[in-house]
Amino acid sequence: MSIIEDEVVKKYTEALQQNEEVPTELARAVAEELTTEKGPNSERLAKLVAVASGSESA
Amino acid sequence: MIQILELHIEEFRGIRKLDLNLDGNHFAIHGPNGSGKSGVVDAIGFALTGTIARLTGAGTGAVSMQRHGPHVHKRDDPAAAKVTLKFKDTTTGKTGTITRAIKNAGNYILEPNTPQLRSVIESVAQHPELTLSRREIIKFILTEPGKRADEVQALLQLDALDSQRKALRSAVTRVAKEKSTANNALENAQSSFMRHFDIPEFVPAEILSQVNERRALLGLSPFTELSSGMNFKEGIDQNPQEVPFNKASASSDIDALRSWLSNPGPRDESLCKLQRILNELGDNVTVLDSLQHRSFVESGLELVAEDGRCPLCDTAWDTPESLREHLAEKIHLSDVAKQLERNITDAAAQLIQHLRTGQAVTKSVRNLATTWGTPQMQTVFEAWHDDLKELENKLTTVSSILATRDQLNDNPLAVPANLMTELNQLAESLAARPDTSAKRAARDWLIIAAERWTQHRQANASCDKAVKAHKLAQTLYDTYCTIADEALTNLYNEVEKRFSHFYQRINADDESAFKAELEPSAGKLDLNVDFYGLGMFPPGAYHSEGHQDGMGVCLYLALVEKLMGKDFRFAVLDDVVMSVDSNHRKEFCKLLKTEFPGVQFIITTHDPVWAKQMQSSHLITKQSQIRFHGWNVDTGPSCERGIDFWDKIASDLANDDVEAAAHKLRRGLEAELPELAEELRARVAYKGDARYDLGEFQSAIKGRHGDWLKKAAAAADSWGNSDAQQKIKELRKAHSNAMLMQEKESWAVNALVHYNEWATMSKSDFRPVVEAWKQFLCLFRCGNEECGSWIGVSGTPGHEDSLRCRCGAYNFNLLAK
Repeated sequence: MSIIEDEVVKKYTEALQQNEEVPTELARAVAEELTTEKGPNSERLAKLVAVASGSESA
Repeated sequence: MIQILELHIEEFRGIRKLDLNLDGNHFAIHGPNGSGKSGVVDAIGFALTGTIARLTGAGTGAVSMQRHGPHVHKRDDPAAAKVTLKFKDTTTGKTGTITRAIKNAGNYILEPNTPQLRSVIESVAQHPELTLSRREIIKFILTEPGKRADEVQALLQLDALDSQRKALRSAVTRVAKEKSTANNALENAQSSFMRHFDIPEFVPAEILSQVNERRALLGLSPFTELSSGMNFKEGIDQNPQEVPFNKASASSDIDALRSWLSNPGPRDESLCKLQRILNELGDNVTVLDSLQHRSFVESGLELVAEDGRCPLCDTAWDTPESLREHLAEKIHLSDVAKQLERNITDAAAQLIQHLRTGQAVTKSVRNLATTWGTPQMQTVFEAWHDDLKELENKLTTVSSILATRDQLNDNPLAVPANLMTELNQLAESLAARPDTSAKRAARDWLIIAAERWTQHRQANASCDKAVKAHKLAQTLYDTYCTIADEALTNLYNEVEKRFSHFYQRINADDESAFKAELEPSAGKLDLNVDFYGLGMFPPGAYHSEGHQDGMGVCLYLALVEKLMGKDFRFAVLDDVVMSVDSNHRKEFCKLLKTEFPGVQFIITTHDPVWAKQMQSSHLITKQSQIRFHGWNVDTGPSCERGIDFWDKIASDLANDDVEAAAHKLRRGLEAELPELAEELRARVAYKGDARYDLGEFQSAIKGRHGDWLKKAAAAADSWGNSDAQQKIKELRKAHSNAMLMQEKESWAVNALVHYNEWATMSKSDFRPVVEAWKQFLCLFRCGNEECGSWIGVSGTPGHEDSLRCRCGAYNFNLLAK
């Protein structure tokens, strides 16, 4: 991960964690997904969101 | 990150064997085009990344690293082509050696093979941008905004940000689709619910009203408000045992039979018609016979054979024709009967219609009697129904109708007296019975309403969740965009500032107010630069090629500095400032030294002047450079290192190789004298083709040096500086001695314009020539071994203030009191 990417993800995670509308667990999981070695997967991100909002089960 | 200590190259590209000792310092590789410099750059890149940039990627066609990476003599032996690089981990200070061969380029041998050093090497391999060639510079400066954005993004490794942004955007799209689906499901559920209530809009009061109306019919308590969890069918017996009774339907059935019975006109008319036809027929035996045998005769006519025998009774006739004529006459005679037959069946058909209607209405009443009436009633209606059915059956053929003539004449449609009685009693009984159809309908309605309310509620809940998910996904995406855009804006601002700062430093003499603007927009990265305060323009608009080169390097340095931060510890600059003019190159050297003090730069150039400027600017030392002065396919690059210059000549002479020694001396002087002339501001007559003889430099240097010593002596005298007077006296004496020595060997020294004359001298003849030149050049070097720089003149032309070396150990004032 480059310095810039590292910086963006770090600030992004902080911003999400400070947002009351975003569950803490989701913020952590999204940050993790964004930095996976294979690259982020939109399907998995959508699933994380769906689970967090209760429209899908984990 | 690492810095390079040593480099060993074998059978790689154009190099047979080469060892370089960089020792973590800046290092310059210079020499003419085609002398093998790029082979060193390739070797460094290969050792660290396992690839050779110029043999891979677009435009390389059939060229491949495996086939063309090894030296051409080893093209079938890729294992022989290898590079060993000794490095220092700048974080821990530990050293390691990495060896990589073309044959197995993906792997390398690391000594010592510690996880820490391996991690460092893997990290370096992720930074191919640490080798910069002029091709890359062009990508940053002279390119379309879209491509520049791609190149800069690739260099800054911003691809990940792009893919993260896209993944989040795509996730929003996915969740939006799910929201749309959920929304449609809700609309459908709501529509279905409202359709059941037959209301155009979802009005809770209307819904409650309809529900409570049905519940009241079933004796159930009403609801006071509409809530999502309510159960419309609460309290309903969903499996009732009672038989449903629809009073209206029953009444309708009773009325139908009653109506049929009380309105006998049409059926009686049909009956009368039939009776009349039958009565007309009377007892006419002939007609009856014709009628009864007509079809029989018709069949016989078709079967008449050629032998004239009757097919019906086998009676022999004279001819078949006579038999046919007989039968045809019989048929003709029965035509009257045929018409009569048609009248009978038509009249019977009409009567049958009435009988069937009677049966249908009687059957419905019979069913009501079976469920709600008495057995007597059931028997009566059953019997009446059967009578009608029996009469219908008797009217199906002419023969059966004829057989029923007597019954037909005996008022067969007369309604039994008890039928009306029983019908009236049944009607009274049913009228007294409570109707259950409304309750059943209400129950069924509530059950369906409850089901649709549940579907609506579930669809509504799903839709709420989908809306929430979409909002959440959008928040994730928007937040990312905000953070990433802010980071990129800051990043480009910082790069812009540093880029401008670097460029200002290089061009302080005429573009000290230079500024640049990096403007990212929609996948593009616009670069505009100031042009002498006249506006902002694309870099290729007005700036010279040299200035564009300078911009390219400055932008590169700003980008890599931002990308790597403290990890920016080494870079290879492959012939990147060739178009930058002389004065600006010196500033470039200062820039590298002051802005990047911890970075090891490995610089290649084909320009000897640039190489000397690096040395005179103290970016590199004599020890940290190598000069390639030729190349051939069998031996690879011919090179010499500054530190070995005189030693190598001595070595050649010790080996009786005057030719080699003469070659080295000649090449050495070609490199040294122009630089020395510049430092001393020696006056060499200008030549448009810049092809100066070494003798011209020698003469100019000699004279100018004498002038400066004379001026220094005068200054020392004016100031009464005895120490300086003494030192200058000694220097002037050394100057004279050196000149005398050159004079003494002038017959040989002067032959330097004819290189071949040196080459044919004997060792004893040539050794004094070498010594004379060595003493001559020593006059102009600082005696401090750590400095070793040329002495030079400082101050502006015409106002020279001192004659000094870089370290100041050699320093004489030129300004008289």
